[in-house]
Amino acid sequence: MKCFGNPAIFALKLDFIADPDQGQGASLAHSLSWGSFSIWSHETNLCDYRASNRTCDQVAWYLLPLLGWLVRSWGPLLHEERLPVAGDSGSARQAYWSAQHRVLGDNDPQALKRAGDWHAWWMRHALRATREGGIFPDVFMRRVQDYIEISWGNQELPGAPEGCFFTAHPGVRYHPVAEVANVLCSALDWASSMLTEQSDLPEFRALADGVRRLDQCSSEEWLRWFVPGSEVRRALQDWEQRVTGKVATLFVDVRAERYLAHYAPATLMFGAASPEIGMHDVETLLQALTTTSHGSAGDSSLLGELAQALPLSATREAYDEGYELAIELLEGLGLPQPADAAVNIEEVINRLGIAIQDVVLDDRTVRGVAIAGDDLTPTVLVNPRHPMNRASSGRRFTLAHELCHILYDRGYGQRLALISGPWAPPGVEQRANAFAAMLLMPCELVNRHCARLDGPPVRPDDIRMLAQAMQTGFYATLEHLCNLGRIDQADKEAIRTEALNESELSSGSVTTA
Amino acid sequence: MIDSAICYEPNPKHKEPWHHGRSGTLCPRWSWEQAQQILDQSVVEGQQRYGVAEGMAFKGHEHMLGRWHGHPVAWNEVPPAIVNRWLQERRVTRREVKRLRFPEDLELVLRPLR
Repeated sequence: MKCFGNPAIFALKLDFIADPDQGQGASLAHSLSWGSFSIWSHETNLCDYRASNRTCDQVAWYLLPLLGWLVRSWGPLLHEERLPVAGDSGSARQAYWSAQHRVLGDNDPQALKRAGDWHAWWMRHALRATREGGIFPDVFMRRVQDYIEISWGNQELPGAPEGCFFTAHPGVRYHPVAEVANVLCSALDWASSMLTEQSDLPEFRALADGVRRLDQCSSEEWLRWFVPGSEVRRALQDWEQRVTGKVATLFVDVRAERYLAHYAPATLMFGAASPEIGMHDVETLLQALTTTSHGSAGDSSLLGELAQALPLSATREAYDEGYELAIELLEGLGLPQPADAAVNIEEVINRLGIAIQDVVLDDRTVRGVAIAGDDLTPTVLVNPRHPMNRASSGRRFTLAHELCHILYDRGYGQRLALISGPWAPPGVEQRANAFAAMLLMPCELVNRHCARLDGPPVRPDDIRMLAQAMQTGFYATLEHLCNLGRIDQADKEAIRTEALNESELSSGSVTTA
Repeated sequence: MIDSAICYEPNPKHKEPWHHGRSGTLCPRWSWEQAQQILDQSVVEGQQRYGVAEGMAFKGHEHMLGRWHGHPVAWNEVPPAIVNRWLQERRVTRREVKRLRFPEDLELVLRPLR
């Protein structure tokens, strides 16, 4: 087999072999494209499968549909991040299957539309969309910030032999864009060349033409997959033409031969924006972004030591990782101090040299924005119109959440410009939420305050006391205590229900008999 | 509506027995005799056709002018508008559609053979 890339990092192996059925039931082009392939991510062979009590380390099938799909889907595969709907599932695959469970079989017009949107997305991002009857692995691929996310699982295929499954345990990995794109480029060049040398069939010529056209695609053609709103893209172009010097670099995407390797900070920012973002918010955010490039830019020495580009772990849940990162940071900063009742998050952020700025946005779903980079003043923007930010406890949570992004979600050139809202990459948001919870409610503080109770915190008043002491929200505290194992699920539900009942009674919406 | 211009011609890769390195997903035995009928009653979508029988979805490909082969597909592989149409025509039930859509992340209860 011809190997493109390094199986220890990312690789695609391809081979063309003779069709064992000599073209029966297939077009000539399909038959001549018979071969095998395997996809590797960090030494995991995603095509290794077991069937009929045997294992096989490659998929054998017609390769023409796969190659054609790579060419047709090149733009979305390597540039499209957002899912058809804002969601809270982890990987693209998880989000897809979660959506399927909800929308399919539902004839409500809105559900039908969502189902259609998801199907179109699946056609662009799922390897199985191209299988044409082959037994292909359940693999999804999409862009996430400066990475390509590859997620996989083991959905059953009707008609597969009894007990057939792919041996790679369901998972997700993140690769720098170039690691994946360059492998696919090489593979496409080689495969299209092999096929056209073999025969002058129109299908093979069309494939070769498609591969060549990838060189001629404009950056704008790819950019529309990441920032779908044409008005937003126009605004970005207007700003790029207006600004000069260092500020101009905020609008320049880094292009490789056939793809956008790194998005500019201004581009990154709007990748996670709502599709309906208004122009007032666009202008406000761009103004705030360009302001961060003025004055003394770059990380403080302390922040520089701590900040890193940390893709989501392949082996751990995002919330688990978030907890651990918060614990490490607190230990590094020597917090909480023995006399602390709460973590002073503003002081932590100031100590790290990060600016905090309120930015009023019409979009109330945007909680905050994290901005950082070698040429930018690290900044947290807080939208006071988000419901969570109206209370000081919620604002503190937002600050801690955005701090996680600034510390761990850096990209090319240590740059970051991420809107925290429903359209942000879900795994990254989950990690940041867990980080914020543990940063504000570390075990030392929880233990310190729980010691004042007569027993475990199983009453709403107990949670209120703890929340007030740690300056966190009631429900965030309740959830965190359950995650720490201080209360069990049943207690949590009972407390939540009791608190809701108390709230309804006190508001007069419910009266006792 | 029956289209007499389309003819079912099987691809051996979708017929039993299953062979490593050679076969794809297999059409169940009961569908062999119904294949032409499934094809005749199928719905066109782009360059493919989608058919349904006994709660199972099939996808057809034209490998030569007027000659089609097919294979079973999972319900998520069928365009939702077609699924909805079949549900309304009662050619499939919601239970059948949802059963085959649920992802089955199979646990590795046995180690691979090597």
